[in-house]
Amino acid sequence: MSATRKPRGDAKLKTLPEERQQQIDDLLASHTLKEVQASLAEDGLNVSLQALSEFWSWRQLRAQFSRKETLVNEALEQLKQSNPQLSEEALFSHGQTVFGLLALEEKDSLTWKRIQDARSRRLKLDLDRQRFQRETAELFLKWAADRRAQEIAAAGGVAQSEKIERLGQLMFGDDWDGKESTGPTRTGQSDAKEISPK
Amino acid sequence: MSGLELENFRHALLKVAEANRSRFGIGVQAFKLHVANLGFPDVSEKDVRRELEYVSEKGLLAEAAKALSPENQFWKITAAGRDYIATRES
Repeated sequence: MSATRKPRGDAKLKTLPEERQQQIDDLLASHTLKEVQASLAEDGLNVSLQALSEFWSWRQLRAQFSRKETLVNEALEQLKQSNPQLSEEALFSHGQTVFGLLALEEKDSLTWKRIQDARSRRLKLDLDRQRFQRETAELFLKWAADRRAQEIAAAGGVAQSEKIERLGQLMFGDDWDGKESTGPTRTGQSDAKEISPK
Repeated sequence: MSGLELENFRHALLKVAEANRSRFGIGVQAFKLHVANLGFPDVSEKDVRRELEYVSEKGLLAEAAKALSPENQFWKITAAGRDYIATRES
């Protein structure tokens, strides 16, 4: 095997101090590869998406083996307590067998992937919420000075739901669908057309 | 596999072994499973075993103490294997 091939892209990442690697790991858990790449570039660390992806795979695998070893060690500890006559060699053999089986289990990584997917969804919801809030504030500024909107808002003896309905029709016209619920977690809200009072 | 593919495949095997910092070794099937995630999804168990043996002969992997069933082999990376990866990746 040749040791003089071109350097691999993830090498810079793997040789960073563990603490920094963990930070990148955490970033990767909640951001896209592109976002992490951009963030690292700001710190002067230029790596390809491929390198980031490989680095992440390697970190995941390392963590997976580590968790499995912890499980095996705990099991061996219990075995040792219940069978104090077992030699260290026998215990190791048992441990090796169990570790060998656990290393075959992909459930760990699948669970991990689900957690990552959930984090990504949560991140998207957060971003959508931020955008929704910003757009709502912008709309308020645009419509606060509009006479028709002011009249609807100030109308006495009119139920809140009716005011919302009238304002919705005024602001969104045919796009208004008052039947749908509105709220900060409604992600489709951010697709509202750019509108201004006429 | 072409020469370069084979080289990369052996590197992937070492990468899996290197990720395992535990005191236990990894078996053929586990290597096969994990190299699949590193870009080698279609290799046979026979191929994996053959290349594990080759890399072991090079001193980059070593057989860990055998499990209860003697037919099961488990490998761990050696110091030379770690050096090899460090050199190749630096």
